[in-house]
Amino acid sequence: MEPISDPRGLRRTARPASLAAAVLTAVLLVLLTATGARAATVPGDAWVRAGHLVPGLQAMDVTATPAGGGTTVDLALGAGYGDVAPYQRLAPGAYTAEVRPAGAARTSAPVLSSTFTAEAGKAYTLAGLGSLQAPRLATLQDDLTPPPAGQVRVRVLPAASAAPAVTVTARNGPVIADGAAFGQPTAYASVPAGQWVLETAAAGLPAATATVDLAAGGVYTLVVVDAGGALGVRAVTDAAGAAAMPVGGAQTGGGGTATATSVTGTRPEFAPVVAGAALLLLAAALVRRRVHGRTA
Amino acid sequence: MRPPRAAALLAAALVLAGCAATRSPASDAPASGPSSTAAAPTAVASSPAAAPASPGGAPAAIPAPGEGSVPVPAGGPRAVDAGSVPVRLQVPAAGIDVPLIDLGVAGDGTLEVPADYQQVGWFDGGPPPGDVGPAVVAGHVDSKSGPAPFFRLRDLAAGDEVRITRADGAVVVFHVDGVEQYAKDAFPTATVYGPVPGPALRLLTCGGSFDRSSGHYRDNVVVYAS
Repeated sequence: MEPISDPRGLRRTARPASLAAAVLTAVLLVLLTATGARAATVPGDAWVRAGHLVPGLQAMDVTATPAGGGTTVDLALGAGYGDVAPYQRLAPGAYTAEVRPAGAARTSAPVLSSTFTAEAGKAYTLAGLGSLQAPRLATLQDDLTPPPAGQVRVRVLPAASAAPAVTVTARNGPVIADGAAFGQPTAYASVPAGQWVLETAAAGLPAATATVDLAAGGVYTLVVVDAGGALGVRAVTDAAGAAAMPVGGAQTGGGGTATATSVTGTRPEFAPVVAGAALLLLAAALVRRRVHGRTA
Repeated sequence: MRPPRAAALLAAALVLAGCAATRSPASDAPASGPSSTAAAPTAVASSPAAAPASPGGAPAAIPAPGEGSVPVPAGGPRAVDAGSVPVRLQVPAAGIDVPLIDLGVAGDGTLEVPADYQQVGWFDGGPPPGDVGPAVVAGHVDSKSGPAPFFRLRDLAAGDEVRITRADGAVVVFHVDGVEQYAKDAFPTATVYGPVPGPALRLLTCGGSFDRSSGHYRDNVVVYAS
Protein backbone atom coordinates (compact mmCIF):
# COMPACT_ATOMS: atom_id res chain seq x y z
CA MET A 1 0.00 0.00 0.00
CA GLU A 2 1.34 3.40 -0.93
CA PRO A 3 1.85 6.04 1.69
CA ILE A 4 -0.52 8.94 1.56
CA SER A 5 2.38 11.32 0.94
CA ASP A 6 3.24 9.63 -2.37
CA PRO A 7 3.79 12.58 -4.72
CA ARG A 8 1.97 10.84 -7.56
CA GLY A 9 -1.16 10.95 -5.48
CA LEU A 10 -1.06 14.71 -5.45
CA ARG A 11 -2.09 14.93 -9.03
CA ARG A 12 -4.61 12.15 -9.00
CA THR A 13 -7.22 12.98 -6.47
CA ALA A 14 -8.98 9.68 -7.06
CA ARG A 15 -6.11 7.86 -5.42
CA PRO A 16 -6.50 9.25 -1.88
CA ALA A 17 -10.19 8.48 -2.11
CA SER A 18 -9.64 4.86 -3.06
CA LEU A 19 -6.86 4.61 -0.55
CA ALA A 20 -9.14 5.92 2.16
CA ALA A 21 -11.76 3.43 1.10
CA ALA A 22 -9.26 0.60 1.29
CA VAL A 23 -8.07 1.67 4.73
CA LEU A 24 -11.66 2.03 5.83
CA THR A 25 -12.55 -1.43 4.64
CA ALA A 26 -9.50 -2.96 6.28
CA VAL A 27 -10.19 -1.28 9.60
CA LEU A 28 -13.84 -2.28 9.46
CA LEU A 29 -12.86 -5.88 8.84
CA VAL A 30 -10.43 -5.85 11.74
CA LEU A 31 -12.99 -4.31 14.06
CA LEU A 32 -15.69 -6.72 12.98
CA THR A 33 -13.41 -9.68 13.50
CA ALA A 34 -12.44 -8.41 16.92
CA THR A 35 -15.99 -7.78 18.07
CA GLY A 36 -17.26 -11.01 16.55
CA ALA A 37 -14.67 -13.04 18.41
CA ARG A 38 -15.64 -11.56 21.75
CA ALA A 39 -17.22 -14.34 23.79
CA ALA A 40 -20.53 -13.58 25.42
CA THR A 41 -20.23 -13.17 29.15
CA VAL A 42 -22.87 -12.87 31.82
CA PRO A 43 -22.80 -9.39 33.34
CA GLY A 44 -22.98 -8.96 37.08
CA ASP A 45 -21.29 -10.56 40.05
CA ALA A 46 -19.12 -13.62 40.44
CA TRP A 47 -20.32 -16.61 42.47
CA VAL A 48 -17.96 -17.73 45.24
CA ARG A 49 -18.29 -20.33 47.98
CA ALA A 50 -16.02 -22.07 50.46
CA GLY A 51 -15.68 -25.68 51.50
CA HIS A 52 -13.90 -27.41 54.38
CA LEU A 53 -12.46 -30.70 53.18
CA VAL A 54 -9.49 -31.22 55.46
CA PRO A 55 -10.07 -34.30 57.63
CA GLY A 56 -9.44 -33.70 61.32
CA LEU A 57 -9.29 -29.92 61.04
CA GLN A 58 -11.60 -28.07 63.41
CA ALA A 59 -14.51 -25.93 62.26
CA MET A 60 -13.39 -22.90 60.32
CA ASP A 61 -14.45 -19.44 59.19
CA VAL A 62 -13.57 -18.44 55.64
CA THR A 63 -13.48 -14.81 54.56
CA ALA A 64 -12.80 -12.93 51.35
CA THR A 65 -11.47 -9.37 51.33
CA PRO A 66 -11.14 -7.23 48.20
CA ALA A 67 -7.47 -6.76 47.31
CA GLY A 68 -7.96 -3.04 46.94
CA GLY A 69 -9.57 -2.77 50.34
CA GLY A 70 -13.22 -2.97 51.15
CA THR A 71 -15.69 -4.94 53.17
CA THR A 72 -14.71 -8.44 54.16
CA VAL A 73 -17.28 -11.07 53.18
CA ASP A 74 -17.89 -14.15 55.31
CA LEU A 75 -17.94 -17.07 52.88
CA ALA A 76 -18.34 -19.66 55.62
CA LEU A 77 -18.88 -19.39 59.37
CA GLY A 78 -18.13 -22.39 61.53
CA ALA A 79 -17.86 -24.75 58.58
CA GLY A 80 -17.07 -28.28 59.72
CA TYR A 81 -15.22 -30.96 57.82
CA GLY A 82 -17.28 -31.95 54.78
CA ASP A 83 -19.27 -28.73 54.66
CA VAL A 84 -19.58 -26.73 51.47
CA ALA A 85 -21.23 -23.37 52.12
CA PRO A 86 -23.74 -21.81 49.70
CA TYR A 87 -22.50 -19.52 46.96
CA GLN A 88 -22.28 -15.85 47.63
CA ARG A 89 -22.14 -13.06 45.11
CA LEU A 90 -18.97 -11.03 44.97
CA ALA A 91 -18.20 -8.05 42.78
CA PRO A 92 -15.68 -9.11 40.14
CA GLY A 93 -12.09 -8.46 41.15
CA ALA A 94 -9.13 -9.70 43.13
CA TYR A 95 -9.58 -10.99 46.67
CA THR A 96 -7.60 -12.41 49.54
CA ALA A 97 -9.18 -15.46 51.13
CA GLU A 98 -8.38 -16.36 54.72
CA VAL A 99 -9.24 -19.36 56.86
CA ARG A 100 -9.36 -19.14 60.66
CA PRO A 101 -10.69 -21.32 63.45
CA ALA A 102 -14.40 -20.67 63.93
CA GLY A 103 -14.93 -17.55 65.98
CA ALA A 104 -11.31 -16.39 65.86
CA ALA A 105 -10.72 -12.65 65.63
CA ARG A 106 -10.37 -11.37 62.09
CA THR A 107 -7.16 -9.72 63.19
CA SER A 108 -5.58 -13.04 64.14
CA ALA A 109 -3.19 -14.82 61.82
CA PRO A 110 -5.05 -17.06 59.38
CA VAL A 111 -4.45 -20.81 59.28
CA LEU A 112 -4.61 -20.74 55.49
CA SER A 113 -4.77 -17.93 52.99
CA SER A 114 -4.67 -17.40 49.27
CA THR A 115 -5.54 -14.88 46.63
CA PHE A 116 -7.98 -15.32 43.79
CA THR A 117 -9.54 -13.29 41.02
CA ALA A 118 -13.27 -13.58 40.47
CA GLU A 119 -14.75 -12.81 37.06
CA ALA A 120 -18.31 -11.72 36.34
CA GLY A 121 -20.70 -14.60 35.84
CA LYS A 122 -18.16 -17.26 36.80
CA ALA A 123 -18.21 -19.58 39.78
CA TYR A 124 -15.49 -20.57 42.21
CA THR A 125 -15.10 -22.90 45.15
CA LEU A 126 -12.41 -22.05 47.68
CA ALA A 127 -11.66 -25.50 48.98
CA GLY A 128 -9.58 -26.40 51.99
CA LEU A 129 -7.97 -29.60 50.76
CA GLY A 130 -5.27 -32.02 51.78
CA SER A 131 -4.35 -33.57 55.09
CA LEU A 132 -4.29 -32.08 58.57
CA GLN A 133 -0.49 -32.10 58.34
CA ALA A 134 -0.42 -30.37 54.95
CA PRO A 135 -3.62 -28.46 54.33
CA ARG A 136 -3.96 -26.02 51.47
CA LEU A 137 -6.56 -23.60 50.20
CA ALA A 138 -7.30 -24.23 46.53
CA THR A 139 -9.33 -22.04 44.19
CA LEU A 140 -11.42 -24.30 41.99
CA GLN A 141 -13.22 -22.79 39.03
CA ASP A 142 -16.61 -24.46 38.88
CA ASP A 143 -17.42 -25.31 35.29
CA LEU A 144 -20.65 -23.73 34.09
CA THR A 145 -20.47 -25.27 30.62
CA PRO A 146 -23.90 -26.68 29.79
CA PRO A 147 -24.02 -30.49 29.78
CA PRO A 148 -25.43 -32.21 26.69
CA ALA A 149 -29.25 -32.36 26.61
CA GLY A 150 -30.61 -34.72 29.26
CA GLN A 151 -27.29 -35.00 31.04
CA VAL A 152 -25.49 -33.54 34.01
CA ARG A 153 -21.87 -32.78 34.74
CA VAL A 154 -20.31 -34.27 37.85
CA ARG A 155 -16.91 -34.07 39.48
CA VAL A 156 -15.53 -35.74 42.58
CA LEU A 157 -13.66 -34.13 45.47
CA PRO A 158 -11.93 -37.01 47.26
CA ALA A 159 -11.42 -35.83 50.84
CA ALA A 160 -11.51 -39.03 52.90
CA SER A 161 -8.25 -39.57 54.74
CA ALA A 162 -9.04 -43.29 54.95
CA ALA A 163 -8.79 -43.62 51.17
CA PRO A 164 -5.69 -42.66 49.18
CA ALA A 165 -7.82 -43.16 46.07
CA VAL A 166 -11.53 -43.65 45.43
CA THR A 167 -13.61 -44.93 42.54
CA VAL A 168 -17.14 -43.61 42.15
CA THR A 169 -19.53 -45.57 39.95
CA ALA A 170 -23.18 -44.95 39.14
CA ARG A 171 -24.93 -48.32 39.65
CA ASN A 172 -25.88 -49.69 36.24
CA GLY A 173 -24.29 -46.61 34.77
CA PRO A 174 -20.99 -44.95 34.04
CA VAL A 175 -17.85 -44.70 36.15
CA ILE A 176 -17.70 -41.11 37.35
CA ALA A 177 -14.18 -41.18 38.81
CA ASP A 178 -11.67 -43.99 38.66
CA GLY A 179 -8.95 -44.04 41.28
CA ALA A 180 -9.29 -40.35 42.12
CA ALA A 181 -6.48 -39.35 44.47
CA PHE A 182 -7.09 -37.89 47.92
CA GLY A 183 -7.19 -34.11 47.85
CA GLN A 184 -7.25 -33.88 44.06
CA PRO A 185 -10.51 -32.74 42.44
CA THR A 186 -11.39 -34.62 39.28
CA ALA A 187 -12.49 -33.10 36.00
CA TYR A 188 -16.22 -32.96 35.35
CA ALA A 189 -17.76 -36.02 33.69
CA SER A 190 -21.04 -36.06 31.76
CA VAL A 191 -23.64 -38.47 33.18
CA PRO A 192 -27.25 -39.07 32.11
CA ALA A 193 -29.62 -37.17 34.37
CA GLY A 194 -31.91 -38.96 36.80
CA GLN A 195 -31.83 -40.76 40.10
CA TRP A 196 -28.64 -42.72 40.62
CA VAL A 197 -27.23 -44.97 43.30
CA LEU A 198 -23.60 -43.97 43.58
CA GLU A 199 -21.14 -46.59 44.77
CA THR A 200 -17.90 -45.29 46.21
CA ALA A 201 -15.13 -47.80 46.66
CA ALA A 202 -11.61 -47.66 48.06
CA ALA A 203 -9.10 -50.37 48.84
CA GLY A 204 -9.60 -51.93 52.26
CA LEU A 205 -12.85 -50.12 53.00
CA PRO A 206 -16.47 -51.16 52.68
CA ALA A 207 -18.12 -49.55 49.66
CA ALA A 208 -20.45 -46.66 50.42
CA THR A 209 -23.64 -45.97 48.53
CA ALA A 210 -25.61 -42.77 48.22
CA THR A 211 -28.77 -42.06 46.27
CA VAL A 212 -28.74 -38.78 44.40
CA ASP A 213 -31.14 -36.95 42.10
CA LEU A 214 -29.26 -35.28 39.31
CA ALA A 215 -31.49 -32.89 37.35
CA ALA A 216 -30.77 -32.54 33.64
CA GLY A 217 -28.78 -29.45 32.81
CA GLY A 218 -27.21 -29.34 36.26
CA VAL A 219 -23.62 -29.36 37.49
CA TYR A 220 -22.69 -31.24 40.66
CA THR A 221 -19.79 -31.99 42.95
CA LEU A 222 -19.59 -35.25 44.89
CA VAL A 223 -17.62 -34.85 48.10
CA VAL A 224 -16.16 -38.07 49.48
CA VAL A 225 -15.47 -37.84 53.21
CA ASP A 226 -14.51 -39.97 56.18
CA ALA A 227 -17.65 -41.21 57.89
CA GLY A 228 -16.97 -43.19 61.03
CA GLY A 229 -14.13 -45.21 59.60
CA ALA A 230 -15.96 -45.79 56.32
CA LEU A 231 -16.67 -43.57 53.33
CA GLY A 232 -19.43 -41.01 53.01
CA VAL A 233 -20.62 -39.22 49.90
CA ARG A 234 -22.29 -35.84 49.78
CA ALA A 235 -23.76 -34.46 46.57
CA VAL A 236 -23.48 -30.68 46.28
CA THR A 237 -25.22 -28.70 43.57
CA ASP A 238 -22.84 -26.39 41.74
CA ALA A 239 -25.35 -24.95 39.29
CA ALA A 240 -28.66 -25.61 37.55
CA GLY A 241 -29.66 -24.89 33.97
CA ALA A 242 -32.24 -25.78 31.37
CA ALA A 243 -32.83 -29.51 30.92
CA ALA A 244 -32.65 -29.04 27.16
CA MET A 245 -31.73 -25.72 25.63
CA PRO A 246 -33.72 -24.19 22.77
CA VAL A 247 -31.81 -23.65 19.54
CA GLY A 248 -30.75 -20.13 18.63
CA GLY A 249 -32.56 -16.90 19.36
CA ALA A 250 -36.24 -16.13 19.87
CA GLN A 251 -38.62 -14.66 17.29
CA THR A 252 -40.13 -12.04 19.54
CA GLY A 253 -41.35 -9.26 17.34
CA GLY A 254 -43.74 -8.48 14.51
CA GLY A 255 -41.93 -5.44 13.19
CA GLY A 256 -44.79 -3.05 13.76
CA THR A 257 -42.53 -0.46 15.36
CA ALA A 258 -39.47 -1.09 13.22
CA THR A 259 -38.06 1.88 11.40
CA ALA A 260 -36.30 1.52 8.10
CA THR A 261 -33.12 0.52 9.85
CA SER A 262 -33.44 -0.39 13.47
CA VAL A 263 -35.56 -0.20 16.60
CA THR A 264 -32.65 -0.02 18.95
CA GLY A 265 -30.12 2.08 17.17
CA THR A 266 -26.55 0.93 16.94
CA ARG A 267 -25.93 -2.57 18.10
CA PRO A 268 -23.60 -2.18 21.10
CA GLU A 269 -20.81 -4.31 19.70
CA PHE A 270 -20.75 -2.18 16.56
CA ALA A 271 -20.31 1.04 18.46
CA PRO A 272 -16.51 0.92 18.12
CA VAL A 273 -16.93 0.20 14.42
CA VAL A 274 -19.06 3.25 13.91
CA ALA A 275 -16.76 5.38 16.02
CA GLY A 276 -13.72 4.14 14.13
CA ALA A 277 -15.41 4.66 10.80
CA ALA A 278 -16.37 8.19 11.74
CA LEU A 279 -12.77 8.95 12.64
CA LEU A 280 -11.57 7.51 9.36
CA LEU A 281 -14.12 9.51 7.45
CA LEU A 282 -12.88 12.62 9.18
CA ALA A 283 -9.27 11.69 8.41
CA ALA A 284 -10.12 11.00 4.78
CA ALA A 285 -11.83 14.38 4.48
CA LEU A 286 -8.81 16.10 5.99
CA VAL A 287 -6.43 14.29 3.67
CA ARG A 288 -8.57 15.23 0.72
CA ARG A 289 -8.66 18.85 1.79
CA ARG A 290 -4.88 18.88 2.09
CA VAL A 291 -4.47 17.24 -1.30
CA HIS A 292 -6.86 19.63 -2.93
CA GLY A 293 -5.09 22.50 -1.26
CA ARG A 294 -1.73 21.51 -2.69
CA THR A 295 -2.94 20.84 -6.20
CA ALA A 296 -4.98 23.98 -6.42
CA MET B 1 -16.91 18.03 -3.67
CA ARG B 2 -16.33 14.37 -2.90
CA PRO B 3 -17.31 13.89 0.72
CA PRO B 4 -20.84 12.77 -0.20
CA ARG B 5 -19.35 9.90 -2.18
CA ALA B 6 -17.17 8.90 0.73
CA ALA B 7 -20.15 9.03 3.02
CA ALA B 8 -22.13 6.84 0.69
CA LEU B 9 -19.27 4.39 0.61
CA LEU B 10 -19.12 4.36 4.37
CA ALA B 11 -22.83 3.85 4.66
CA ALA B 12 -22.68 0.96 2.24
CA ALA B 13 -19.84 -0.61 4.19
CA LEU B 14 -21.76 -0.34 7.42
CA VAL B 15 -24.91 -1.77 5.94
CA LEU B 16 -22.92 -4.68 4.56
CA ALA B 17 -21.28 -5.15 7.93
CA GLY B 18 -24.63 -5.21 9.65
CA CYS B 19 -26.13 -7.69 7.25
CA ALA B 20 -23.18 -9.99 7.19
CA ALA B 21 -23.87 -11.21 10.67
CA THR B 22 -27.49 -12.09 10.19
CA ARG B 23 -29.47 -14.92 8.74
CA SER B 24 -32.90 -15.37 7.33
CA PRO B 25 -34.74 -17.59 9.75
CA ALA B 26 -36.89 -20.10 7.99
CA SER B 27 -39.62 -20.40 10.54
CA ASP B 28 -42.39 -17.92 10.97
CA ALA B 29 -43.00 -16.46 14.36
CA PRO B 30 -44.96 -16.85 16.43
CA ALA B 31 -44.94 -20.46 15.41
CA SER B 32 -46.85 -22.36 17.98
CA GLY B 33 -49.28 -21.79 20.76
CA PRO B 34 -48.38 -21.74 24.40
CA SER B 35 -48.11 -25.06 26.10
CA SER B 36 -50.77 -25.48 28.69
CA THR B 37 -49.68 -28.54 30.56
CA ALA B 38 -46.51 -27.54 32.28
CA ALA B 39 -48.23 -26.46 35.45
CA ALA B 40 -48.74 -30.10 36.27
CA PRO B 41 -46.18 -30.89 38.89
CA THR B 42 -43.85 -33.70 38.07
CA ALA B 43 -41.35 -34.92 40.55
CA VAL B 44 -38.76 -37.18 39.02
CA ALA B 45 -37.85 -38.82 42.25
CA SER B 46 -40.83 -38.63 44.54
CA SER B 47 -43.76 -39.67 42.38
CA PRO B 48 -42.59 -41.84 39.54
CA ALA B 49 -45.93 -43.62 39.23
CA ALA B 50 -47.98 -40.46 38.92
CA ALA B 51 -45.94 -38.88 36.18
CA PRO B 52 -47.63 -38.88 32.84
CA ALA B 53 -45.34 -37.41 30.25
CA SER B 54 -45.21 -33.73 30.89
CA PRO B 55 -43.73 -31.68 28.11
CA GLY B 56 -41.45 -29.82 30.44
CA GLY B 57 -38.72 -29.57 27.93
CA ALA B 58 -40.06 -31.55 25.05
CA PRO B 59 -43.07 -30.15 23.59
CA ALA B 60 -45.30 -31.12 20.94
CA ALA B 61 -45.15 -30.21 17.35
CA ILE B 62 -47.19 -27.21 16.43
CA PRO B 63 -50.70 -28.59 16.67
CA ALA B 64 -51.18 -29.79 20.20
CA PRO B 65 -53.68 -32.64 20.18
CA GLY B 66 -51.09 -35.31 20.86
CA GLU B 67 -49.20 -33.58 23.62
CA GLY B 68 -49.72 -36.35 26.11
CA SER B 69 -47.96 -38.85 23.93
CA VAL B 70 -44.82 -36.86 23.37
CA PRO B 71 -41.81 -38.89 24.44
CA VAL B 72 -40.04 -37.68 27.52
CA PRO B 73 -36.41 -36.79 26.89
CA ALA B 74 -33.60 -38.70 28.45
CA GLY B 75 -33.43 -37.81 32.08
CA GLY B 76 -37.11 -36.97 32.25
CA PRO B 77 -38.77 -33.62 32.55
CA ARG B 78 -37.56 -31.06 35.02
CA ALA B 79 -39.28 -31.46 38.34
CA VAL B 80 -41.14 -28.22 38.91
CA ASP B 81 -43.46 -27.71 41.83
CA ALA B 82 -46.78 -26.21 40.75
CA GLY B 83 -46.37 -23.48 43.33
CA SER B 84 -43.10 -22.38 41.76
CA VAL B 85 -44.58 -21.62 38.36
CA PRO B 86 -44.38 -17.87 37.73
CA VAL B 87 -47.68 -16.15 37.02
CA ARG B 88 -46.90 -12.42 36.89
CA LEU B 89 -44.03 -10.21 35.80
CA GLN B 90 -43.55 -6.62 36.91
CA VAL B 91 -40.77 -4.36 35.66
CA PRO B 92 -41.62 -0.84 36.82
CA ALA B 93 -38.73 0.82 34.98
CA ALA B 94 -40.04 -0.51 31.67
CA GLY B 95 -43.74 -0.13 32.41
CA ILE B 96 -44.29 -3.89 32.38
CA ASP B 97 -46.97 -5.60 34.46
CA VAL B 98 -48.23 -8.71 32.76
CA PRO B 99 -49.47 -12.21 33.54
CA LEU B 100 -47.20 -15.05 32.43
CA ILE B 101 -47.98 -18.09 30.34
CA ASP B 102 -45.80 -21.19 29.93
CA LEU B 103 -43.55 -21.65 26.94
CA GLY B 104 -41.78 -24.75 25.71
CA VAL B 105 -39.69 -25.54 22.69
CA ALA B 106 -41.18 -25.16 19.21
CA GLY B 107 -41.16 -27.93 16.66
CA ASP B 108 -38.03 -26.57 15.02
CA GLY B 109 -36.12 -26.60 18.30
CA THR B 110 -36.28 -22.86 18.91
CA LEU B 111 -37.84 -21.26 21.94
CA GLU B 112 -41.61 -21.25 21.69
CA VAL B 113 -42.88 -17.67 21.74
CA PRO B 114 -46.33 -16.41 22.71
CA ALA B 115 -48.83 -16.79 19.87
CA ASP B 116 -50.49 -13.61 21.05
CA TYR B 117 -48.10 -10.68 20.64
CA GLN B 118 -49.38 -9.15 23.87
CA GLN B 119 -48.55 -12.20 25.98
CA VAL B 120 -45.32 -12.91 27.83
CA GLY B 121 -44.17 -16.37 28.78
CA TRP B 122 -41.79 -18.33 30.99
CA PHE B 123 -39.67 -21.11 29.44
CA ASP B 124 -40.78 -24.15 31.42
CA GLY B 125 -37.81 -26.26 30.33
CA GLY B 126 -35.62 -24.26 32.68
CA PRO B 127 -35.72 -23.45 36.39
CA PRO B 128 -38.61 -21.40 37.78
CA PRO B 129 -37.73 -17.90 38.99
CA GLY B 130 -36.25 -17.99 42.46
CA ASP B 131 -34.86 -21.49 42.12
CA VAL B 132 -31.18 -21.99 41.39
CA GLY B 133 -30.47 -21.49 37.71
CA PRO B 134 -31.51 -19.21 34.88
CA ALA B 135 -35.25 -18.59 34.59
CA VAL B 136 -36.00 -17.39 31.07
CA VAL B 137 -38.95 -15.14 30.23
CA ALA B 138 -39.69 -14.12 26.63
CA GLY B 139 -42.00 -11.48 25.21
CA HIS B 140 -42.50 -9.60 21.97
CA VAL B 141 -41.02 -6.16 21.43
CA ASP B 142 -43.85 -5.31 19.06
CA SER B 143 -46.68 -6.79 17.05
CA LYS B 144 -47.19 -6.25 13.34
CA SER B 145 -48.95 -2.99 14.14
CA GLY B 146 -47.47 -1.50 17.31
CA PRO B 147 -45.67 -1.96 20.62
CA ALA B 148 -45.88 -5.17 22.64
CA PRO B 149 -45.20 -5.66 26.39
CA PHE B 150 -41.41 -5.85 26.00
CA PHE B 151 -41.19 -2.71 23.84
CA ARG B 152 -39.21 -0.85 26.49
CA LEU B 153 -37.16 -3.78 27.74
CA ARG B 154 -34.08 -2.40 26.02
CA ASP B 155 -34.28 0.74 28.17
CA LEU B 156 -33.53 -1.17 31.37
CA ALA B 157 -30.28 -0.48 33.18
CA ALA B 158 -28.23 -2.19 35.87
CA GLY B 159 -29.99 -2.03 39.20
CA ASP B 160 -33.54 -1.82 37.87
CA GLU B 161 -35.95 -4.03 39.76
CA VAL B 162 -37.78 -7.01 38.29
CA ARG B 163 -40.51 -8.73 40.34
CA ILE B 164 -41.96 -12.12 39.60
CA THR B 165 -44.93 -13.55 41.43
CA ARG B 166 -45.18 -17.33 41.62
CA ALA B 167 -48.31 -19.42 41.79
CA ASP B 168 -47.75 -19.96 45.51
CA GLY B 169 -47.90 -16.19 46.02
CA ALA B 170 -44.19 -15.77 46.66
CA VAL B 171 -42.66 -12.68 45.07
CA VAL B 172 -39.12 -13.05 43.79
CA VAL B 173 -37.19 -9.82 43.33
CA PHE B 174 -34.30 -9.58 40.89
CA HIS B 175 -32.10 -6.68 39.92
CA VAL B 176 -30.83 -6.07 36.42
CA ASP B 177 -27.14 -6.89 35.95
CA GLY B 178 -26.90 -5.77 32.36
CA VAL B 179 -28.58 -5.56 28.96
CA GLU B 180 -26.97 -7.17 25.92
CA GLN B 181 -27.90 -7.37 22.27
CA TYR B 182 -26.89 -10.25 20.01
CA ALA B 183 -27.37 -11.17 16.39
CA LYS B 184 -29.74 -14.14 16.38
CA ASP B 185 -27.26 -16.22 14.43
CA ALA B 186 -24.72 -15.56 17.16
CA PHE B 187 -27.13 -16.08 20.04
CA PRO B 188 -25.17 -17.10 23.19
CA THR B 189 -27.26 -20.13 24.09
CA ALA B 190 -24.95 -21.35 26.84
CA THR B 191 -24.79 -17.91 28.44
CA VAL B 192 -28.56 -17.48 28.45
CA TYR B 193 -29.77 -21.00 29.24
CA GLY B 194 -26.66 -22.63 30.74
CA PRO B 195 -26.04 -23.50 34.38
CA VAL B 196 -25.97 -20.73 37.00
CA PRO B 197 -24.99 -21.27 40.66
CA GLY B 198 -27.82 -19.18 42.09
CA PRO B 199 -31.23 -17.77 41.20
CA ALA B 200 -31.02 -15.78 37.98
CA LEU B 201 -33.37 -14.34 35.39
CA ARG B 202 -33.09 -13.59 31.69
CA LEU B 203 -35.68 -11.50 29.85
CA LEU B 204 -35.69 -12.00 26.09
CA THR B 205 -37.08 -9.92 23.28
CA CYS B 206 -36.13 -8.75 19.80
CA GLY B 207 -34.01 -5.84 18.70
CA GLY B 208 -31.84 -4.50 15.95
CA SER B 209 -33.06 -4.14 12.42
CA PHE B 210 -36.14 -5.82 11.03
CA ASP B 211 -35.74 -8.19 8.11
CA ARG B 212 -38.81 -7.61 5.95
CA SER B 213 -38.07 -10.67 3.85
CA SER B 214 -38.13 -13.06 6.80
CA GLY B 215 -40.58 -11.09 8.92
CA HIS B 216 -38.22 -11.20 11.90
CA TYR B 217 -35.85 -8.95 13.74
CA ARG B 218 -32.20 -9.79 13.24
CA ASP B 219 -31.17 -9.43 16.89
CA ASN B 220 -32.25 -10.47 20.34
CA VAL B 221 -32.06 -8.25 23.40
CA VAL B 222 -31.27 -10.11 26.62
CA VAL B 223 -31.69 -8.57 30.05
CA TYR B 224 -29.63 -10.38 32.68
CA ALA B 225 -30.87 -10.12 36.25
CA SER B 226 -30.12 -11.87 39.51
